[in-house]
Amino acid sequence: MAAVAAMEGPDERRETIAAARAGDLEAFDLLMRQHERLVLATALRLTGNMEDAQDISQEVFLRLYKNLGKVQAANALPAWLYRVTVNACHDLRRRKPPSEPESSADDLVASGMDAQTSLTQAERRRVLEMSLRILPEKERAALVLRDLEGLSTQEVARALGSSEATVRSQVSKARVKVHDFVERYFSPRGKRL
Amino acid sequence: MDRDLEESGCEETLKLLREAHREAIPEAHFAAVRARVLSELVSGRRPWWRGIWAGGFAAAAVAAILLAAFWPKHMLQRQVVGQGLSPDNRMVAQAGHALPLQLLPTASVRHTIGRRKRLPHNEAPAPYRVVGPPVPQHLMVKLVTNDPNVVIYWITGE
Repeated sequence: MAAVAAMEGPDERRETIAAARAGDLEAFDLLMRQHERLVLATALRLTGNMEDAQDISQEVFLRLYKNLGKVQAANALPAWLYRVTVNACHDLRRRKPPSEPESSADDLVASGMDAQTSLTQAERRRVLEMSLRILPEKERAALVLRDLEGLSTQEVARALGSSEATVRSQVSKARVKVHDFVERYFSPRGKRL
Repeated sequence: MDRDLEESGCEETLKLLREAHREAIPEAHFAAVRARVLSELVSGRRPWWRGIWAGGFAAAAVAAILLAAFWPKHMLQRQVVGQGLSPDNRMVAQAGHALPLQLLPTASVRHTIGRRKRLPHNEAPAPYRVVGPPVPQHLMVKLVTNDPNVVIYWITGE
């Protein structure tokens, strides 16, 4: 996706959006390729599983197709996608509560990995998933957008529909909780970050 | 942001999480989403001519229903009323049909114990009053089409 996005400048993106708006499905396919990682990765962090993340992505892109006329500038598209993705995840959570009760940090720590195991990719992924799972929904969204997706506080506030002060507070709380979780995850095995 | 991170001591933790977050998602997941979206969009776009037959069929069905609903029923009834009667009675039946048959005066039925009271001649029920138009029998045919929005009802008379 990054490669696709890098190949296109603002003018080309504007043309792609205009063509997709006119009903060109190839142009819309290109538009999806440019933004699919943004949508799917964000949805994956917010929902915690790939199946729901794919459903969310599908819904977001169908909404994008219907609302292409409302996206005025190509630069505004990522912000629009973040907002719609977060809202879609929120709607999904309301429609379909998590099937298994959210575990407490201690339960998750107890099921952690061996002390001798190095920080492999799988382990890092597991820590990420578990640490996000302990966060309340809004704090999780704020942390994902601010610290993992790298948006500014202002952009996060716009995506979540809240004030910058609220976002700062949510991010700050989420960081402390995640840090505490990760420390406890590794400390029983003598491994500290 | 960096100052906040240093103060909270979360820098290392977030670095770890970011590394995990940046891990590549298998291309198959993206391809699956794109395929689902495009198939949804393509199925939503039907060529205009594919809807014509369904529309025409629906219009014909509506016309048939309207025709059945507003068909002049008295014409049917007149044909039926006179059948099987002798010429004299047929004339009576047709003359009586000038009034709606339902409004013809009917003799009241009284159940009495003992001897039945004889009605005066002018109140006696005429024998031809039993002759009335048969209740029209309607046949309704329901046609189900491929389009779930189009169901055709074909209603016919006897």
